[in-house]
Amino acid sequence: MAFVASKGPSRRLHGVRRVWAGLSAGDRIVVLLFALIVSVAIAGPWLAPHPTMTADPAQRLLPPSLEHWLGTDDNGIDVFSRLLAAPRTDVTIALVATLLSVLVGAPLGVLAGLFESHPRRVLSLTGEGMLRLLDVLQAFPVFILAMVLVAIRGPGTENVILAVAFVNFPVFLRLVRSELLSLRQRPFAEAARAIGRSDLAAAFVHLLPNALPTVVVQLSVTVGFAVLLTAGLSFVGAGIRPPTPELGAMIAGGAKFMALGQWWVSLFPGLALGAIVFVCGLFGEVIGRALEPGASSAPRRRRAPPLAAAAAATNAPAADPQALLAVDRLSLIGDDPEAPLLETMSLSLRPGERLGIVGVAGAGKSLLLRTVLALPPPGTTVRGRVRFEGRDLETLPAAELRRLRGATLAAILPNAKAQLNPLVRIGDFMAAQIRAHVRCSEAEARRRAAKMLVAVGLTDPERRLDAYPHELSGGMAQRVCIAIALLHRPRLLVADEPTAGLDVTVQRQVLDLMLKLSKEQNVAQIVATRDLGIVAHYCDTVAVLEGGRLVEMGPVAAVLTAPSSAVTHRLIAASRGETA
Amino acid sequence: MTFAPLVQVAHLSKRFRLDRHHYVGAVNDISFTIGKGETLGLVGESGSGKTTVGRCLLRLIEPSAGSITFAGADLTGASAAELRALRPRLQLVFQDPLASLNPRRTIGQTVAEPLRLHTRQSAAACRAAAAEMLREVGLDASRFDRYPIELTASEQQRVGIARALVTRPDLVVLDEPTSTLDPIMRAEILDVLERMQAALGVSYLFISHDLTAVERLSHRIAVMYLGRLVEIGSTRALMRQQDHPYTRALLSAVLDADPTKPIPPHVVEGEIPSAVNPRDECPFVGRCPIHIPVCRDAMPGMADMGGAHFAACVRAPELVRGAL
Ligand SMILES: Nc1ncnc2c1ncn2[C@@H]1O[C@H](COP(=O)(O)OP(=O)(O)OP(=O)(O)O)[C@@H](O)[C@H]1O
Ligand code: SF4
Ligand SMILES: [Mg+2]
Repeated sequence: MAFVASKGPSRRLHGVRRVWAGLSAGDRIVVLLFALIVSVAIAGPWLAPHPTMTADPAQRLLPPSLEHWLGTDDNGIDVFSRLLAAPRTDVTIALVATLLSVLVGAPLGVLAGLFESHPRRVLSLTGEGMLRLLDVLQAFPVFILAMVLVAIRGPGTENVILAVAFVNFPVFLRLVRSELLSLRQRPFAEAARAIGRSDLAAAFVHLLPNALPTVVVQLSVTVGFAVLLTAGLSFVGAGIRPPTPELGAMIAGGAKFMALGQWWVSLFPGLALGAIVFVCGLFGEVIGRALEPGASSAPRRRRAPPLAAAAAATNAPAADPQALLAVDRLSLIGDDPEAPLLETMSLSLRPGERLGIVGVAGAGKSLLLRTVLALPPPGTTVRGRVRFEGRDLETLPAAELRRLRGATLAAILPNAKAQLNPLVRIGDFMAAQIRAHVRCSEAEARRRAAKMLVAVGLTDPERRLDAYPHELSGGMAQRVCIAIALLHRPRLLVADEPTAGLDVTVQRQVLDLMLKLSKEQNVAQIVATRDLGIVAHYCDTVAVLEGGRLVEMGPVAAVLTAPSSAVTHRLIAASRGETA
Repeated sequence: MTFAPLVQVAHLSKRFRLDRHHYVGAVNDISFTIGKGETLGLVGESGSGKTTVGRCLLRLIEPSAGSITFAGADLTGASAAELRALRPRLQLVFQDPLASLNPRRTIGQTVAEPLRLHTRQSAAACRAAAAEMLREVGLDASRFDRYPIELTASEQQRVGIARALVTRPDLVVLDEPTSTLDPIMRAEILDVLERMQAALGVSYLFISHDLTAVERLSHRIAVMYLGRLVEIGSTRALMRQQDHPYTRALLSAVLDADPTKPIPPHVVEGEIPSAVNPRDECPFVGRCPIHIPVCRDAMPGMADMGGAHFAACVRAPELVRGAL
């Protein structure tokens, strides 16, 4: 038995250096700024050049100078020194409070997610009740709520922490709950149940860790927000009191001098506060990206053996004046410039032409389609050009590209269920898609959506529009996605495995629909498929990929009856049921 | 070949309630058996209830009616604790190999997990057994500490198979295990499945749209349409002669990879009826090229066509005689 092993050296997430290497320049700046904040929070008080709590009436309200870089406040204390010392208070309170709120909120969120729509009435009611209670709680303005809490319990660091934690835990509860609801639809969640995990264990062992990136992003945003809240409480006198250096209290202390022209007393603490909140928010996103599994180990490809046919195919004529789509020496470079993910591919497509793309898995079919759609995976570089209706997709402004995509340039991607939002009904999802491109009423959008569902062979469109994605079978979800792609009468349809998971009779209906679109409306199509039968009977030309290269391209009849490359031979043999 | 019965499904139904007056008849009154070491292929329209049948067999969803007997014990009435004890004997392989693996766990952890849950073996022993199983499905030890995203789709599916087989189950439901793989990988996975069945004597319920693969792996084939079983028989008999018009349409719609062969005529047109509040009639009647008024009167019963081959069509005898 042939066994294809990926031989590429596989690198893993381990090691700070690996993560650092994967960051963009902007991300690195954010990380450095965040590190600066943390350092100041830790070491600030020791670095302060002047005393931070001792008043010196002789030095009152001095403007910035060489001696006092940021001036002095009304107690004659150096503002710069206090500014260095203050973050320790705010950041510590914010950190502890945020940790507390996530430790309480996340497990409750898991339970809320599990209890929701649980067959046991008691549990579903508990879940329901929990959310209602949160609604009530969150109806109060956060700041007022926190003030009330501090007022009840009296000032003091612990009480500020408790108040800040209390107003923030609902954020984590809701976040984890909604993450859980969507993770629960993923097959690995069912796999956990299938091997005999209880729902509860599966939720904590398998689902919660996968909600981590989102939680961490939120964690960082919340820390920023908690700093703001702490400062706010202190500003109104409900938090930390002077003389402890604290940003909110500093701003409050200096506010009355603003009008008198002594702006430095509260301006600098204000700026510092803003910067901390801002950097925390950005840092969350950087961490979130770095935490995605495989974020730093982009799929690596084996380099295909050099083939004579490859050279011929890649030099295929690219300048067809009638071309709707012209791909000219397109390369996609990933981590390793030595082994590009796609290598100098040229092809062109006329209106109404149907091009099939075949190849073993990992040959680059989906990458090619994504690059054609100007959606290359993050962290890759595109060389060469993709022209659509004479316009270069690379250089098109983002807004223009968005308008193009989903309208004239439509995509059908595999794994339909993953594209539909598990929490949004099909009808709402489709209506939103329609209204993103056409101005029309909600009812009109719905009518159009229903019509399209019928066109792809779904019955009872009204009921389908009301369904959530998990209520559809795989094949139905796929057809919903096809319907979405066809909503705006595209000129080019880029389809990745459009009929995977459909039974052959329905598959034929979908293919016939696509054929009709090409014949009657001149819609060009690029179809990546592993089913040579589809290529044989529904495509005009076929391109065979291997290891990121175009190894063979030509009219379907020629390529499939007299293949020139070894892969094509193997694919044909395997399709006939002969063991590879 | 005859097999001692392992699973007996009788009058199984599953309804998903939509609101007070509407429900989806995902599976309606289905009966069949699976023998020890046998593969039953399950094919049919998208949305016809194949996945639901598979999930009901494993009690991952609760059947609405009917009974399932597994190795002599009533599975439908099993308590949660009894069910947990049965889990290692009833397993599942998924359609989308990558999605079925927890992205944050290594291959080794994933395959060892069922053993950790169901046996008292030490962590090291579980690891060793998992490594052994991975080797048997054709993955070498260097893959053990990898994450799913680092493997090829074929390797990922081997991991899914290893996870299902590591507890030496009696029955594995394979829900379209090859539908996301390219032809070469598909052939590899079918090899693995065949080899493991020969080695372990496990039974498969093999759900697929890929008729070539079903033909290759299955001893018998069952055909579903809109929640109903419409035909069941041995692979050989069914491939030679289809006694239900839907099965006929299904087999004739297959596209050959040879472009010189004419495109097979598309015999069925029309829409797939809705599974909401299904009527008591032949589910295929709206698309059937040979329907007659009586087809609307009631769901035709399963008629014995001889040779353990059954079909649910009022005109099956005529169809068999070649009168149509
Ligand atoms: N949780 C659910 N709620 C409501 N309806 C459901 C639910 N799950 C499945 N269904 C419906 O039950 C029917 C059978 O679905 P099922 O997934 O079993 O079909 P399938 O034969 O496996 O289809 P495919 O080949 O597309 O995978 C479909 O009409 C589907 O919409
Ligand atoms: S019962 Fe009637 S409608 Fe149904 S398959 Fe037979 S002939 Fe066709
Ligand atoms: Mg299914």
